[in-house]
Amino acid sequence: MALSLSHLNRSALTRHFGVLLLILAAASFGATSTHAQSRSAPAPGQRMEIAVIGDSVAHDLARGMEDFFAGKPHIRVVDKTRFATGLVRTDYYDWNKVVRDFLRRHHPAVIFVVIGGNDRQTIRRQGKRYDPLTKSWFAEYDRLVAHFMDDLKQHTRGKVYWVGLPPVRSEKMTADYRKMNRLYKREAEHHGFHYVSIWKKFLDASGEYSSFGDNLNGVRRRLRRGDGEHFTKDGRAVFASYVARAAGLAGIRNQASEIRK
Amino acid sequence: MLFPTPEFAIFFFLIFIAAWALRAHPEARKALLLAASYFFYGYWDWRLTGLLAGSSTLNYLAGLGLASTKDKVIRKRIMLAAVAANLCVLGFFKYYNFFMDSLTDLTVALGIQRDMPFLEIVLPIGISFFTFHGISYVVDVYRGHTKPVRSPIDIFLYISFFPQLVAGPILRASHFLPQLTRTASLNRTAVVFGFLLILNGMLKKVVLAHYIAIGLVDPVFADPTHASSIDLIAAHYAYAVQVYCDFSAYSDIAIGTAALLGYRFRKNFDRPLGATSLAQLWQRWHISLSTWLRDYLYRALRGEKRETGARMYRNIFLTMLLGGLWHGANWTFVVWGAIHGIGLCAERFIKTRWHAFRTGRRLSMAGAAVVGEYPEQPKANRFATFVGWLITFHLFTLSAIFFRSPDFGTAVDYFITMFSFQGGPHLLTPFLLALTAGSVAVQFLRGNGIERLAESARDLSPVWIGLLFGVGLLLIEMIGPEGVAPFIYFQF
Repeated sequence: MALSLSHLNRSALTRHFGVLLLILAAASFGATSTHAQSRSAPAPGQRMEIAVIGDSVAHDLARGMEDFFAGKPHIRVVDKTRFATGLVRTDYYDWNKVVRDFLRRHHPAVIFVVIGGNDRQTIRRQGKRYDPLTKSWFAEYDRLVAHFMDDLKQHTRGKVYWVGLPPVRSEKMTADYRKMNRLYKREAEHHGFHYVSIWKKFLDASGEYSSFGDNLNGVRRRLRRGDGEHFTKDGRAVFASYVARAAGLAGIRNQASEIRK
Repeated sequence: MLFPTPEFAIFFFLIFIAAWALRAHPEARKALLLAASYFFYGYWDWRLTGLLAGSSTLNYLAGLGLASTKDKVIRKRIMLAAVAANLCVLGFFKYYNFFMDSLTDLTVALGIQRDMPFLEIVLPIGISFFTFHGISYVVDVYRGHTKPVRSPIDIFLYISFFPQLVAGPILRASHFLPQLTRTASLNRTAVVFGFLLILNGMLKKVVLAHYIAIGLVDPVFADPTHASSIDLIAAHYAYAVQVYCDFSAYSDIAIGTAALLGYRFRKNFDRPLGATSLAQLWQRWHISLSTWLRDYLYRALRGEKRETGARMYRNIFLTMLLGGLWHGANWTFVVWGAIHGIGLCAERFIKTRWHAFRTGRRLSMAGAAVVGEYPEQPKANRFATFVGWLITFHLFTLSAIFFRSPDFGTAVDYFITMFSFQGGPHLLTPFLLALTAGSVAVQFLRGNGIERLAESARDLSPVWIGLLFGVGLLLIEMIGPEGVAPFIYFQF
């Protein structure tokens, strides 16, 4: 039987309209939850600051971001990274203090954090030892991560994107990073941050770590350095482009170009 | 398994006890050391032990093949086939993706870009070293410098002996194999010598190299464009010191552990940062590699006859260029090798001309090789020696920027930012400056200090020797930063 509006009474129309609205609302909610909202470009004359915080992997992201936004004077990438650091060794480098001091002087609109790659080590707190990746270690590490995120949240009004660790050549490290990423995701969401997973971006078709992949021009190149952890120039570009798009910054890049023109 | 770790300490303690318990049974002792060496290597990845065994088998069979015939043509073919097979293995694992990378660059530049068949190849640790051991053995047997080995255990142990397996020094079959046929012995001087070398190596690696690396070199080289000129200048000196401390530390610990097992390795570093000429630098830096390049590459390029002039310079340059590429599959290493090749050629040319100008007669440089073949030279005055050191040292430290940079662009960025002379010290601290300067200063002390100390300490009782060694290790562990960075030369 053919269906036409003439066959529907007023209450049926209202019901269908309501269902349609619900579907639209759900769809738009789904869209915002899976893809970050595209940001608007800074007003002419204003500068937008993007901070990248973390260890040497974060540094690769910062370099990639600088290239990604190269020639866009309204966007400034601030590289607040430090090699061979993490959240475990506060005696060596206290990231909580560094971030507090940094955010007193800077007010980035967007903050990307990549940290944890060096944290697979014993935690020593108040005379206790927590051997790496044990249950008690994870409990203590969770506390350290949460404490860091607390500080971050308290001292910034910017959007915070916590970028998960990438897979690496070492199978053992990759397995550990996978577990640590779960912790970061949970804590990030708990603190109202966005979690960006780059895990699948650097795997091959069979789901294994790969040093190679398509660069931004679609040419297959080496993306990871010989150490199987850090990124080559092509890799940094892919890394930054992916993260920027996940954070809805790709549009700003284009809009900023328009403003400049 | 890294040397400065508790795992290695336990491993070595057990092997030390077992090896000396088997002193009266040489064959069983060698079998134990061979098994230990494979365990040591397999500790990283047991799958790679197959490659090590395959390489050893290849060279063992080549040696037997050379022994089975006196026909010169057949012998040459066997030698060439074995060397080619060794180089193919090395080339595949180390240079395949570099070749593909370079080919991609070329096709992109020509506008005919293609996706190259990159392979996820894990570079087997120490492959450059055990390949060079294999080539050394086959060529020495071919040249008649050493006798072919009938016992597979001997040749397998020569190639895989754990103290030198992953980062040298590169042993010569003619020096090491005869030691396997003698009954091992250990006296108190050798024990003290071994302990002192291990302590010295640990101090250089765990304290000096590690502090310099994490405090200055690693952050600066990661992104030279964000560093100040002062930090960049300091870091390029510091890196030269770091790579010296790191690599000579490995050699020291290797020689020390071998000495404790009753084997003698030759010195691999002899205060190279105090060298007053490039030729002298290469006589003092990674001596086992320099002499290897001289004996197996330079002499292969040169042929039977001694030579002079352009051919000699070409061969010196090619030897250094390939020596650079041996360090890693990257154009930065090629540039580094080329700088040293050009430097050595220029130095030789200037010295020859200067000598001719001063004395009115030509200095015979015939057959001069990369290292060790300089004819006696007139003694230079102090000023000339100082200028020689200054030039040599800076050529070494500046070229090391290419050695350390992950790519050519980073090295160029480094030079540009360093010579912009902007910014004050952010990472350089008085502590790091003292470590760097102090490490260079000790290069001017008299050599053989450890040998002399071992000689003078041999009258100490075994209890005191053990106690001092233990306390020394603990102190080093206490004053060094936490964690163990891998040795730089592992990647080669």
